[in-house]
Order: sequence, then C-alpha cells, then structure tokens
Amino acid sequence: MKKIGKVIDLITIGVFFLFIVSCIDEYDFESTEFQSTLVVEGTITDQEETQRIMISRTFPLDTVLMSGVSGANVSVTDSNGSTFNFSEASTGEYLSNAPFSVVSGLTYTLNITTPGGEQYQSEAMPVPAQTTIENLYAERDFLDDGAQEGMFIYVDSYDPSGQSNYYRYEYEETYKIIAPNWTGLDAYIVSPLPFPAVATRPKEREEQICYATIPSNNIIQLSTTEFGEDRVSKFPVRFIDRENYILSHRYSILVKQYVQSRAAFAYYETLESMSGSDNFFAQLQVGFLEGNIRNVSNPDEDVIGFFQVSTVSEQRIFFNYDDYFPNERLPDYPIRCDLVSPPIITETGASPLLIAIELETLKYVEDYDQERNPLNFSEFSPFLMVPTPCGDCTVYGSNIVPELRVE
Amino acid sequence: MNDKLLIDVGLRYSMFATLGETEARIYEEGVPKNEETLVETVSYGNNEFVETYGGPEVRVSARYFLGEDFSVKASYNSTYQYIHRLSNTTTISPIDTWKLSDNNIKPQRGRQVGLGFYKNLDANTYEISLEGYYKEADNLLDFKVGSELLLNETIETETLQGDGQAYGVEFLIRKNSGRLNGWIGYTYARSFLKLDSEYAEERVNNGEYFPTNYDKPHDFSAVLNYKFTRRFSASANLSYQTGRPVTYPVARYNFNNSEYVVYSNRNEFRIPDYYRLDLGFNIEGNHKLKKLAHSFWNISVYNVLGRNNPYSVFFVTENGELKAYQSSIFSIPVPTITYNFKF
Repeated sequence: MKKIGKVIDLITIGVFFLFIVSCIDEYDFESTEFQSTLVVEGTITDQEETQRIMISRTFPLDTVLMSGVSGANVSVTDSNGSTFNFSEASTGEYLSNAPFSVVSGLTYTLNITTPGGEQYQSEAMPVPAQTTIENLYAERDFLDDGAQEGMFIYVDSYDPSGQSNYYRYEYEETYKIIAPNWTGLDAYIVSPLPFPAVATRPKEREEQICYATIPSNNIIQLSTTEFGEDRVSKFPVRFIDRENYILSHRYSILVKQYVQSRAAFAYYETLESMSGSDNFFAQLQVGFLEGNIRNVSNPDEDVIGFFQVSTVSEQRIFFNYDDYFPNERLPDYPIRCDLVSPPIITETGASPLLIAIELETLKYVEDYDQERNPLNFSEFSPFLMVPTPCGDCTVYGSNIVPELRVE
Repeated sequence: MNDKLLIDVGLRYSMFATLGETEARIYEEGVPKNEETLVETVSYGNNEFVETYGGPEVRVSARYFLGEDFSVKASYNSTYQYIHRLSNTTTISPIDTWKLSDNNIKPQRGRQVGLGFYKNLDANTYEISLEGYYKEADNLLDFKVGSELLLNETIETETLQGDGQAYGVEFLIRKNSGRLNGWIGYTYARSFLKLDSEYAEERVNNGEYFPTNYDKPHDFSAVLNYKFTRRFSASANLSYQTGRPVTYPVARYNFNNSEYVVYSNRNEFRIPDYYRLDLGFNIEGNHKLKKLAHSFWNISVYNVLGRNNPYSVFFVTENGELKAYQSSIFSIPVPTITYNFKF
C-alpha cells in the first residue's frame, strides 16, 4: 500500500512539474579522461573448496574492453598468520592453490600486488555466524498483482542465536531443453547448383535433449533485523514466469545462502540501488561507492569492489513441469517453430534450400509430399524444414548431461 | 564608543522543540542509521515534547571610521539553525526538501567572522565595498551515496550530518545618481562539506572536504539603469554564475556476472555555467501634476540570450546505453509587458 501511495505522489508531482519545467534536452557530456580503476570481487567461504577471487579493471563508458587483470599476486592471510596463495586460472580469475575454508573466530585479509607493483590490502574481515538453509521448496503461485503466474522458489532458514541477520542469495539454475521438432536425420547437399540435389543422413551428435546452467546475476538480499527473531520465512529467491521455456521439462536450482557482515550487506544494497536507474523518477544521490580494499601506499585511491568473508549453506531442488502444471500447455519455445519448405530451385536459378542447409539456418523435419502439398505452401521442395533452434537444442544449451542430474 | 568606533554586541538564547503528534524512530547507538538498525518507534501525543535543542547565540560587530568616507567593519556571530534544506542537481525537476530538526537530526550551528572595507567617492555618488567572510558550520545535512532523493519517508536513514566550511570575498561598486546608475558586483565564494565516519557507508569522498551542492565559486552580477529622458529609461540585468557541482558516471566494470557503472567522487564535476541577461524598457506617462493616476509601461525581455541554463544534469540508461539529459527552466527569451499605475 505504501508503495502505491508513493507512486501516486510521484506521478502527481511529476505531472505538475512537467507543466512547469519546459525543457529537457540531451546533454553532451564529455567523458573525462579515463582513469582505470582496480575492481576486486571475491567471497571466501567456510566450505572446504577452492576459493576464487576475480580482479579486473574498469573500462570506459563507450567501449567494452577485456577487463581482467593478469599476472597479479593474490593471497589471503588470516589472523593466525597463515597464508593462502592464489594462482591465475584464467584472465582475471584467481583460484586458491589448495582448498581451504574460513574458520569462525579468525579474521581474514586479502592482499593483492598488481603487475604494476601496486599493493592493495583489504580490511580484516571477521567470519559471520553460520546458518543452514532449513528448507528450499518450490510453489506455483501468482505474482502480487495476479497478472503473472509462475513458480516461486522459497527459502526457509532459522538462526536461534540471532547472530546472522544479513543474508545474500545466489543461485544456479540448470534446466532441460528438448527440441520440439527434432528428428534423427539431417539434410545435406549431394550436389550443388546448377543441378541441386539433397538427401538425408543420420545425425552425428545429440541434438534433442540439452541442458543449460545459468548463474544468477542480480543481487538478492534480505535482512532479518526488523523481525522479532532471526528467521527467514518463505523468502522468494527466484520467480519464474510459467511462460518461460526453462520450466518446460525438468528444472533444478542450487541456492546458496551467504551470511554477510553488515558492511557487506550495505555495500551490495547500495550497489544494487545505484545500478537500476532506468526511469526518470527513480532519482538517487550517486557517488563513488567505497568498498573495503585500499592501496597500501595511497589510501585515497579509489578501489572498487568488496572482499567478502561469508558462511554459506547450499541446497538443490529438482522438479518437473508436470509436477505443477499437469496436463497444461507447455511454455512456448523461445522462437516460433514454423514449418517451411524452401524450394530446391527457383525461377531465378537460386536455391533457398541449399542456402539454408549450408548456413544451417533450417533443420530437416521430414519429407514433404510435393504432390498433395498438404500444408498449402505457395512454393515447396522435397523437405519440410524448421528453424535450427527447433530441431537442435545445442543452440540454447549443451548436450552434455551435467553431473548433478539424478534422472 | 567614540566618534570613530561603534560596537554592537548581542546575546540571545534560542530554543527549538520538536512536538508531537508524531512517531519518533530510535536507532541503535553508534552504528549507521538504516532500516536494519531501527530499535523502536515511539509514539508521541499532540504537542508532547519529542526533542529539545537550544543554545546561546552571540553577535558582535564593530565599525571604525578610518577617514570621513572610509570605514572598516568587522563582525562575529554564532547561530543555530533548526531547519535544513536538502537540494540536489540530479533530479529531473528542481525539488528541494526542507527538513526540521528532530530526535535524529541535530540542528546546524554556525560561526562566522567577517571583515569589510567601505569607501564612498564623489559625495556618495559612488560606493565601493570589499568584504570577506569565513564561516564554520557543524551538522550540515546532506545525502548519503546511493540514497533516494525524492519523497523519502525516513530521511534520517538517507542523510548524514557533517562539518562545513565556507569563505568568500565580495566586491561591489554602486553608482547612485546620474543618468547611468546601478551596481556591479563580483563574489568569489567557496562552500565545502565533510562527511566522515568510521563506517564506509557513511563516508563520502574518503571523508575529505568536497564542494557542497550550492558551491558557486564565481558570481558576477550587474544591474544598470540608463535614463534617456524623464519619461524613458532602460535597464539591464546581467548575472553569471559558475555551474553547480554534479557527480558523473565515469566508467563501467564487471561484477557479479553483470555490468555496473562507476561514478566519480561526489560533486567532482560541474554542470555548465549559468548566465542570463535581462533587458527592460520603461515608458512613463506624462508627468502632469494633477493627473489622477500616474502610470508607466514596462516592456522587458527575460533571458535575452536565450541560454538554456541547466538546472540539473541526470543520467538514464536507455537500451543499455547511458545517456545524459539536462533539465532547464525558461530556456527561451520570455518577453513581458506590464502596465503599472499608482495614485
């Protein structure tokens, strides 16, 4: 309710001012001399695993550059004096040489020496309390306004000690894709123009069933300080619209619950709010967002990013579309799978069919009865074809079965 | 005190109280105020005292005549201010928010010293003055990084209070009589604010002094009137100010599997300078003594140069591209005609 009142207020003021304010022009602001700033992203956890730190640099507003920093010296030290070294696995990505986990009661500091010789160090970060996910479950429901229906992924968790309070969630979803118009045969060119001929042969690779794994890229956070107890109850981590094709067959999500320090929570919260100014009315006071990493010899230098020490708990669930939408229409495939039959040769001497096979824009479905022309095409050929993604699921995923699958 | 020296001294005790009916929010001590550190909300009835602030205010000023038409003035004053004004240069329309002090927002305190030299020339035809001031303030109110500027219900979670510093020099020439009269003034004034804290989320620009939203280093204005005859006169008004400070996006980076924008330090850049020229022409009715009503016409043009002085510059992401827009008011010359009469 409050939100609706606020929106009405905003609209009223906006309309009122649009009458008074006569001019909004595009402004040509000169991007000032670009100064590359170091960006550090890393969360080390209390799970015994290879920990990862990402180091990159900023790039100008109008270009996109490869931004990872190579050749840096990265290590994490704890308050007992132990050092964990990291090595570069790929550009900008540094993995710990040996798996380690953070231990409650110690503090951890990140040290970076860039290839240019600059030394950076984070603040000593303590280890927050640990809270396990009590329950991860899915429910079919409507979004607030009732317009959209879909699947909600909910999390329940409880910390009786009341120490955790600040949570951040990441997820990784894996879903099964089945190409709707798949057949076991591929069309190929027997002879090219001017005497085109085509035939079919069996497919050499799996193209019917694929899987895609996509990590989350938004910041999902929750704090429980305003509740009476440190309990997360039915918190929606993800909502998937029922029309989203990823639900079509089998879906799995791995949800990770990170317990954060208050400073980390505030950092991510501000980062999230400053990044989404899509509309004129969501006006924020912007500025440089300070993290917890500093240049040792020049503490005033801007460093972007946050070194997080978190405890993590993860859980995975699986479900099939049929479990929640039995006998209901499947979501649409990402593209329309219209059946077409491009002619093998046209009056002008070109061959749309050969071009489609060569460029792999269409896939073979079945032979087409040219005499009866049951689909009433204006022009047709011996083959009935469909856009490639409809016959080959590898366009959207990979045909390698992921290890986590328990089919 | 004597012929040459005049001293004024004043002392005042001012008090301000926030009264109910209201809900006062109380936050945890020693940590940043935000939704998460809200401890409780206390309800107050009508006209119940929520919080009281007060303190002494001192005023001292002295004037000394160095010559017959040359004097020097010095002053010191300390004040409390219980109402705060929050302005910004990044919204689409000029909205200032006024906030009274309450249990979470302390009143501002200021201490200012001033020194000025005044000289009259040519039997008071010309007045020249040169003044300087230095001011220190506590508890100035401004926004945090990432705070919401409009219609914020819990403003204490989005604002910080810090120390301010301001100083300036003003130069003024005034001509009082003759066909051409008016004044020309130039001011160089700076105004800074420092928002520092042990918590990174409450620090702005590393806790160093940075220009406030209303810092305008150069301010030049001139008002000139020229009387052609007893009935016709013209006037011109020119003002020029350095643009107000603004924060720009300067770069992008990859983080958490998506792209984010880096903003510069707060108020590091400036919106374009503001200048405006207004011209006016007065036509007076005849000057017969026995007329029932004396009237005059005034034709003037506001913003003759037609400059669209930007009030604010803001950024919007359109289709994944970052674009800048400036919003200005009255960007075209506005002509006006006025008919006045007095009797």
